Amino acid sequence: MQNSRTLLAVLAWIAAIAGLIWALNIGAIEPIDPAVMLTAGQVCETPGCAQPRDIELPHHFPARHAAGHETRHLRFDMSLPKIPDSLQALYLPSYADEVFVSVNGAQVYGNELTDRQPARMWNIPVLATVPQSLLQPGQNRIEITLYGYPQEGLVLEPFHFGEAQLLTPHYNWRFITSAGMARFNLGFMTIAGIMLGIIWFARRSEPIYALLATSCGFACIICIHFGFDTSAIGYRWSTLIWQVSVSIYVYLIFRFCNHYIGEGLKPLETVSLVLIIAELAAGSLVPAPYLFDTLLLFKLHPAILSFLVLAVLLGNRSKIDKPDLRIFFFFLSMASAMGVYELYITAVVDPGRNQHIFQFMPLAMLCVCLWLVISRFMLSLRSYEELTGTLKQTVAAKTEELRLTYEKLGQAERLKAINNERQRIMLDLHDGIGGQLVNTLAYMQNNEKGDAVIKTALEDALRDLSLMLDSLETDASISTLLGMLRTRLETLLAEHALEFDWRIDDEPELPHPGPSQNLNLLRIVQESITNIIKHAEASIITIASDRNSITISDNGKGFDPRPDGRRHHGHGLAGMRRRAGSIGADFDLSSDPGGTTIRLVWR
Amino acid sequence: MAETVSHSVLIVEDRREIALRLKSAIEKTDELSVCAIADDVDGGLNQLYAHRPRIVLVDLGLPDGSGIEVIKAVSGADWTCEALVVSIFGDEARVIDALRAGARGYVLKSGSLAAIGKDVLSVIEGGSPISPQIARHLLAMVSSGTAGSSEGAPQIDLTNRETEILNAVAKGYKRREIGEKLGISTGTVGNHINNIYQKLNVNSNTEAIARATRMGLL
Repeated sequence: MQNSRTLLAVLAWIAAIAGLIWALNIGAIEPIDPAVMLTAGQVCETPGCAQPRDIELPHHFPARHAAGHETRHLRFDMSLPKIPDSLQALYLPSYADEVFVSVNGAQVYGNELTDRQPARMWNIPVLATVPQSLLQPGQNRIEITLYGYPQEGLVLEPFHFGEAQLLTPHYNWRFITSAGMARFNLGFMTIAGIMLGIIWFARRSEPIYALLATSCGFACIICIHFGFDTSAIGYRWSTLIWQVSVSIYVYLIFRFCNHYIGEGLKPLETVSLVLIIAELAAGSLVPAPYLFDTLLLFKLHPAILSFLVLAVLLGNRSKIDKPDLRIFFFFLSMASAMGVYELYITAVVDPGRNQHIFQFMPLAMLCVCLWLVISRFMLSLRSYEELTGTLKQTVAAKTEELRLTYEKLGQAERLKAINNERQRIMLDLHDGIGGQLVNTLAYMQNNEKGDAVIKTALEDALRDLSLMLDSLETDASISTLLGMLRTRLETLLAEHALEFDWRIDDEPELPHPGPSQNLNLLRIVQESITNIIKHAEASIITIASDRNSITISDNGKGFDPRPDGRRHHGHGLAGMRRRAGSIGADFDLSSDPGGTTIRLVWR
Repeated sequence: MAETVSHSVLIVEDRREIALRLKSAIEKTDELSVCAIADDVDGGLNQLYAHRPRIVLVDLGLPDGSGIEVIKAVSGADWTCEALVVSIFGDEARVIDALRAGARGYVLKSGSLAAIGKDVLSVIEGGSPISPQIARHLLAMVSSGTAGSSEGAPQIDLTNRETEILNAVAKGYKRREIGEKLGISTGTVGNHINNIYQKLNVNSNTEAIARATRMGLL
């Protein structure tokens, strides 16, 4: 329903344009003052003109179904008061197909009529100069021989006799708007076709350009038909080629529109293709007398298809940019209307209009192509600019990222170097000093030599070295360091009948983590534990931790923590406080007869 | 006196006094006897095949090479034999290598060596000594594995329970405490730790196979 309404709208629109062209009466043959316009003459059955018959121009000899060609002889009498001073001329705006003109028996236009194909000059006006010497005062006779194809009918429109200088501009204008326009467009279409072909070659992914380039090629063939004599290749083939070119041309435009819109009208395309093949077959096989009418019948196909093109455009207007739609629709409907008009004046015997205008059609097509290329170009220019903008931003962001990565990489390299060096020193301490200490202790034990002070000093040194190595080893986890401390002290505790109550849960996180901070923390914890072993007379040591604190408490006898109380130099409280300060922790000590609690708290 | 099966122990330790101290500490345990003491890799390998001991105590830093070579020989031995690393401190990186080579654990020689006999016996009974540091390191291997880390970094797959246990060990908890916390027996905790060691070892074996395949040896 929607579609048929669109199609009706298109039909009305085309009818309106075609009607407008009709009303404009382009190429109407008017008298040119002071030249003589000849309209009354006689037609002869034979060159000798045995039985003349009066006629009025324009005269259309009816088309007949006959092969070959026919000749018509006409004569016009014109009286001149005197021989003119200036050069005279005959100007024939329109006729078909070929014309021979003689004045007072002398040939002024056209070669000797021989038995050959009539030249296809129907779209080329004639200006034949008439030397004054041929003219005579009084009655002068102009003989015109028409030579053409009976299927299309022979035609002679009114013509003019007058001063050559006066008639030349009229002739020029007529020529430019008919054959000249066709030749002009032939050049245009060739260039456009080559350019579109190059674009397509560079952008194979966009078949739209291939379609347009090919359609330009077929438009060229149409232009040749309207601009040149094509009789050399024979009537059948020249007619078939140009008529089928029209069908293929419209078919390509249809495909172009479908492709542009993204509409899948494959079935219609196939039907159109089948009709083109049928047209070719019929054109090649139909008996010669019926060739023209048969092909004319097939012209219904491109006509209807061109309406469909417009209907498809209109039906999908939401999918097309407004400017694109306007340009496409306007120029394509102009082309379609020209086609309808052309079809009409070709098919009707006496159409009342004598100027063909279909040679203008490629211009409309050219506008569509140009617009398409330009709008695409603008579009890609715009997106290119946008892309450049985004690219610049991306490049800036990536550069910054890269810089940061390099920075991190540099840091990682430094860290790795530090780590390697640390590993080396650790290994040296481990195998060197550590080995010596253990070996010495073992010697003392094996041989039961040495005194208790040296032994204790060595053991303390060994424990401190362990602590240092541990804190370097696992710098990330305080809970693991505490665990290692427990492992080392477990036997010592057992010797003193002490036990751990282990309550390490959340991983403690120091304000400024690092190996030396960890070492300071561990020293505080270790010293607290050794203090308990030495002085507290406790049975259980509780170690507890959360994210922000570590607590070491015992169930021993306690002591007076005040500086002025019982002296506790051995406890090294001052050193522990100092260490706590260096890792950013508060050192909290409370003691009563039920036990002592040391709390390290940080934020 | 009751019949006791005596397990022979080979000591590979380059420091004379430590070796002697280890020997006397071990011989205080009835079930153990020291069959030989070697002071380098070469001697250790010779004594290993000469005495076919049940347990080998290996120091890692030896004058003519790494104790890991001895551990590898122990892994490939055709009799029941297990290697224990004796380390002064934790020295995690080297100990992990030793574990991957097939060591059953390690004992610290920095503290009192009185408990060493007990450690050796626990290994013979199927236990695997582990320290918080080693547990932490194994956990790192698991997490780096999930992150799809770099070429050289080895990785192991652990069950949730195994990860849980390693986490507790890394915080300093003992097997008994972990068992109480998780509601399982101390022995089960030990089994889990054995499994983790097993995976570490298997993992290093599959890596070796993969490497050999790449090199066209298999």
